Amino acid sequence: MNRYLILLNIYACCFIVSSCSSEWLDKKPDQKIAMITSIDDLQALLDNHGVMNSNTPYMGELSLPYYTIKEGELEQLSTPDRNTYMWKNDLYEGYDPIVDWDWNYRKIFYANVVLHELDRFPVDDVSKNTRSAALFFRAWANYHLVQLFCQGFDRTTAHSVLGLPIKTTADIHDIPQRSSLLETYQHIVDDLQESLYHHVDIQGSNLIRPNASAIRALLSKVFLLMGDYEKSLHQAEAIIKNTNAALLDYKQLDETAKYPFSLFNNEVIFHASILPTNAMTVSRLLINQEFYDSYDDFDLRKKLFFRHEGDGTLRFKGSYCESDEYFSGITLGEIYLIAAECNVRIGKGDKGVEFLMDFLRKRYERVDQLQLRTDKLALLKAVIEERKKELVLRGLGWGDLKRYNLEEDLAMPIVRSLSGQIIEMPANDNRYTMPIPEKVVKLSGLVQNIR
Amino acid sequence: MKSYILSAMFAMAFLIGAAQHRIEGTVRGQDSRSVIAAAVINGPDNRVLSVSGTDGTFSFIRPQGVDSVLISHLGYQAKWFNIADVNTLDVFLSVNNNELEEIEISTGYFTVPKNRSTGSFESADNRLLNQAVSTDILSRLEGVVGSLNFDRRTDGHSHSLKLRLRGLSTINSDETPLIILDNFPFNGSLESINPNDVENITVLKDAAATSIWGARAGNGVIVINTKRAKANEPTKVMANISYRVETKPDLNYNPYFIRSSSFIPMEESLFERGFYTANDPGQSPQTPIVERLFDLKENRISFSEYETLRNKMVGSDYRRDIERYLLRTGLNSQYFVSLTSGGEKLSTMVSLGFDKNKDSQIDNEYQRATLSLKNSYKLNSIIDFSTNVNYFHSRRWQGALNPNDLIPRGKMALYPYASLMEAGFPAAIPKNHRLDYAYNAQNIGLLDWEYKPLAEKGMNRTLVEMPEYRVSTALNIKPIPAFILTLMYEKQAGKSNTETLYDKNSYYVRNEINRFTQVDGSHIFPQGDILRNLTSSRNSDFFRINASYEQNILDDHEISLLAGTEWNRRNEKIIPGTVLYGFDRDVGTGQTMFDYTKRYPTLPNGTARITSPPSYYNEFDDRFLSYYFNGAYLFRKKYNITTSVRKDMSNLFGVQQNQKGVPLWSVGGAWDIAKENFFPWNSINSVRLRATYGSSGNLDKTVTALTTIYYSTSSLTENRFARIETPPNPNLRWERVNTLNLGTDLILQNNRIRLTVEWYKKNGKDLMGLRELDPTGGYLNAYRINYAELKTYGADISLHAKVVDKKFSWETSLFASWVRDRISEYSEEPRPQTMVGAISHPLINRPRYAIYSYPWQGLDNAGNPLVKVGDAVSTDYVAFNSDLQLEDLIYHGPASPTFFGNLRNRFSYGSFSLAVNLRWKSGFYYRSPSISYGDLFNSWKGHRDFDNRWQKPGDEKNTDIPSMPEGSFSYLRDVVYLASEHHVKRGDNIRIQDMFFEYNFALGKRAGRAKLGNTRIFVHATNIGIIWKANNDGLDPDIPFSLIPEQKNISFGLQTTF
Repeated sequence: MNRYLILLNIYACCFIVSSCSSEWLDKKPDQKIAMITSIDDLQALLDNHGVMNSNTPYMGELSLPYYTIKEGELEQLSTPDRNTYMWKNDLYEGYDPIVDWDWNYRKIFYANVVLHELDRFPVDDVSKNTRSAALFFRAWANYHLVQLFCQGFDRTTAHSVLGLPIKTTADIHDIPQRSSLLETYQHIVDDLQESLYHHVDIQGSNLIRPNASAIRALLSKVFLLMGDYEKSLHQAEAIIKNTNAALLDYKQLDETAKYPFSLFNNEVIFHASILPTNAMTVSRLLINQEFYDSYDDFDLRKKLFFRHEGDGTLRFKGSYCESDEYFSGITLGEIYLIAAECNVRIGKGDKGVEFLMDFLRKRYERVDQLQLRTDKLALLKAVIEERKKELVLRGLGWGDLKRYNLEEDLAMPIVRSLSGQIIEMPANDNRYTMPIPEKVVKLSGLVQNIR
Repeated sequence: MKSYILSAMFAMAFLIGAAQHRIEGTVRGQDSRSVIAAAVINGPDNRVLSVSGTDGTFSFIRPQGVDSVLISHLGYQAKWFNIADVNTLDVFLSVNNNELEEIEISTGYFTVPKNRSTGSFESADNRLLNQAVSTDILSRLEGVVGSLNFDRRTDGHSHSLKLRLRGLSTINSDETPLIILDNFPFNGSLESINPNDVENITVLKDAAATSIWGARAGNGVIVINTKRAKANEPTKVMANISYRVETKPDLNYNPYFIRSSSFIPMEESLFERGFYTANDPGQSPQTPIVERLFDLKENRISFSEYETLRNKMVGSDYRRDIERYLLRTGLNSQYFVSLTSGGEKLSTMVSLGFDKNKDSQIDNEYQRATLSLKNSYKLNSIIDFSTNVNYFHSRRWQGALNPNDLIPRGKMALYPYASLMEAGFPAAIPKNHRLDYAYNAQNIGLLDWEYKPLAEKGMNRTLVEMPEYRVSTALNIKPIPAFILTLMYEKQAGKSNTETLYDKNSYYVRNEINRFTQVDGSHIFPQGDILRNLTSSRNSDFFRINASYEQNILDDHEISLLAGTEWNRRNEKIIPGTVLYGFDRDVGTGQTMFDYTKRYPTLPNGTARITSPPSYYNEFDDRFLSYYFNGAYLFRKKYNITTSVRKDMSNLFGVQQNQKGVPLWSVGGAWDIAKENFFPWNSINSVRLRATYGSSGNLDKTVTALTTIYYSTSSLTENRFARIETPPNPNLRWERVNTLNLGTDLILQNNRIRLTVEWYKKNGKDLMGLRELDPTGGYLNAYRINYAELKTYGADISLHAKVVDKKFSWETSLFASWVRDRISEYSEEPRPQTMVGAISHPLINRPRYAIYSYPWQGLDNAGNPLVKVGDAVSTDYVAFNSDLQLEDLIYHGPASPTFFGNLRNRFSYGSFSLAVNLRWKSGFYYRSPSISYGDLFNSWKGHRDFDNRWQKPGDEKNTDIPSMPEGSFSYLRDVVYLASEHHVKRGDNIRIQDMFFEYNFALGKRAGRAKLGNTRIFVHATNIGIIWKANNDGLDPDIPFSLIPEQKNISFGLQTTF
């Protein structure tokens, strides 16, 4: 009798004890790691500015002919950086990683993880905004990748020219083959339009999170690249009308300051920066005399963007990051220039000039001495020239050259001086398109670009 | 005492089953009086009537017509007893001295005699474990248990140790075997186990053995049982004192040492070439010779003055000073006492141990105290419980005067002619700055900045204090004789506190204060001691419910079943540390409020921030829940089948509930041919053929199946942000090891000879391996998934024989193991340049750890190493390096021994006995170091090969050691030489592992009369020497990276039991 009672008690204990086991196994083994359990977690991923906002590509900027690196310093560059500067055919020579590719696809991965996890949560303003932001960042990354690793967009041939592998899943093993250039651009536009659709203005915004102006701005830039000037203008004008940002009046700024432009200043619509590489530090990447001389003496940017070093060389100090990091986000100034250019291109020269002058008033000591021709091509060239002078070391120059090269009137070769010799890259040379990293080709069989 | 037992026995007999003619009793040994478990009680027709339990008691119903029974047990003389008129039977069996003792296997869940199991085990009992003297328990297993490879090659310090059981079972996860202490998984520090407390150790090698313990047993299991008091045992006291003397390390062994007579001309030649900088604002340390050469050049001293100084230095050797002032003969003292007493109901054991070790380096000391209290109480025939309390406390002091502390900033070695003592006073050597700068510090208002090692004695010792305790309790309930229900619980907790007190007069403090002295003379730090402190703590809980059922059905069938469930929780906390400046020892106050973010200008140049205290806080919590079942069936004592099944679940983070667990299992069978009727040879007692196959697991907690993120705070926006830590990995599985084991156990001539031969094959599947990912997927970190495979196969032989067994006896034991492993699946292809370093990366179809090298083309007529690029032989190292492919590497063989073992011979004559243990390791390679000119010129680290280098044209025919390079040279010149094939040597060696000598009073003529009972004195010597090795480079192949050889030591001890 006694024995059986004991046995019974024991069975009862076992039963109770085994039922608590499932929660017991739910404790985290390491306190600092977490699973994605709320929208805040997803927003935290997008708020990781080190991953999402920084590290826009640099290889294009390094290839621009406006800068010089001293011969002796070339040895200290990594193999891809050195070859990029020297416009070589074989850029990588087996080197890995190619960060311009890797770190921008990482942005796409984060965006896809957020989009994938969002389906678990109920729809409200916060979740809509998070979805909008994720779509924006995916488009932002693709926008940069397509400019560097694909040819310039020509409407007549875009459907038969290679674009990017379009990644829309969070599965790190799913690597699609390359789509067409048209499909790639269409994908970016679709993402941005959907992003705009879901966007809701909510509290807690700052300039590393995309607001409505930023989404429109990116749309405007993409349409510009696609040659869709009407649509680009439509977005640009919407921004100018509604934005809280304002053009900085360069007359008010201090040219003697180490960094004349403050971080998150009024003109910034969206904050981002270029991948810092030792090839392009401010002390290494010297501004060409010729480039500097292209600035009019009344152009305030001449003194605010550049400074002379003791040995006579020119350095850049005009970053909107208020540091030696290069700003690659979106400013209202850029939008004004887009509005001007698009108006000129669609035949509304007067409107174009209006925008241009509004803009230049904030950049020149005086604008009265400026003489603008009225014929379309001359006006276009003038706007383009202002673009070049405004958007220094902003990660935009290379994409601009590529799109101008598709127009007979604007296409031009570029030259660089190396070891005392002048090398030239003709317009539409294959080297305007960077090769896909060799590791990617080896592992997933993506089609390589022709050099 | 005896009458009490008898009357209690009668009482019990009345209470339980008085109606039937039940016979009960206890089996004990004649001499020791201790109970004998698993003694077999046979009827006249060989029927098994009963088997004694762990407490020696048995009980059976007397069959009709049976008047006597035969009681036997291996190791004892079997005896017939009359049962016609008795109800109780207390039996004493005498030891059979001819036989080697019965081996019992303990798995941590149950204990079973070796001849009733199917798995592969090795065991070491008390007697063998006591034939060594050491502070820790694992080193006593070396040479005493087969299949265990003790790998000390890790980082050149002879105190780091890796245990490998039957090779490797994993590639990237933890490789250590699981340790079980008194039936619970052990998570404490190994030094908390006092070897004197250990009763026996069993090593579980195959799947039948390890699937019992489940997912953490993939690398094998070592089961340690400590001594317990047994019921009805007279009170015994055991005391043990031993001293171990360790010789000073042999500094002449160091292959990296260059004699001053070679080093100084090298410096002079570099000086000629303008290698040394005269005015370095950072005041980087220079040697006295270089300083004097500058003086000579600037005419601050005359040539004859230089000559005098030079001659003095050429004759100096810092090793003499180190040996004389910084080293001592090490002495370890060990004291231990234990008391056991077993009554009928209550048995108790108390033990107390104290160790004090003075290391051969001065200022290093270790103290340990262990206390153990074990009680078991038998409430009645149904319930008994036991409690176990263990406390351990250790203190380790580490001084700042080991030879590594003498190496100046930015260098890898000290110049050979340094001297630590001049004219009876501690001498200065450069530490962070040039000697002159340090010497003149006081003239510019700073504190004395000289570093005088011998003046630092006793200062700045780090104390690591570790208190730990283990408390456990077990309750056994036996409602019916065949069924036992056990509930057991253990709590382990420990803390580790590391504290360093930097004396205000020590160089460290003077250096910090001086360094941060500002231009205006103000000090950032107050003058005073500096105290640094860091704590971590851990605790674990373990709870098990176990049910076991053992039954003899019709005497031909023996069944034993075991089932249960376990909960295990391990928690570890790391708490932020503190640093107190201006610490006042008497009052215990200090300052911590400093600006840790500001960059202060420092002397002599540069800027620095004050080192902030470690502020990392983290907590780790591992949880396991398991269900298990074991079953064994023995038919007519000949045919045996066993099985075990287990499911382990863990809180592996981010995994779906049903993926948190893995089922593991094994099956085994054994057949004793010798018991068959057709077996002809009588001298062969037992031939057991056995086979097991099963699946064990391994754990890697860094991988998860769901996406996990990691939080940080932004300095740009002040918001929290997160990064993706691990991507989704829906196919995540635990690592599995499937093992097939075939073995034969032979017992010959009544246990005089025992031979076991085993062959095994392990297949590690789903092992975590690094997989190369396409970055387009967006996950850029190292990525591990289950796909790698490692196959291991091998054989073990163990032979024990009593060769001569008279007054003079000779016992021999031989363990031999063969093991080979091969990676059968791994996709990441490493760069060839990374394969010629200390540890190679995994490569498919090769052993996990292997040695590779570059082909050697000889030297050219200027003493430069030659390389082959395409078909051309030249000195173009850059082209060679960039063209290098994996196929160009030469593969030599495994880095771990593939054939190794021990041969142990024990000779006794009367009370004396002497044991000699030989150990060999073979079938492996290592890379022998040599001269690197980059290291020599920049960091003062040389190699004795320097003296045999190429020096003039024509030398390339006699030597392979490159010349001293002229002018600037590429580091690749050194790499191409150091990684070349002729540095790879075979590691095969045979050595005398240890010798043991003992005089046992009890075995002599005075036995029985001695009031001291069993007393023995012993002498034990280890690391006696290498008898033979395959190479002649003067290094010990088992520790090729070490700067000192294994230190020889000798111990003396006395143990008495009464």
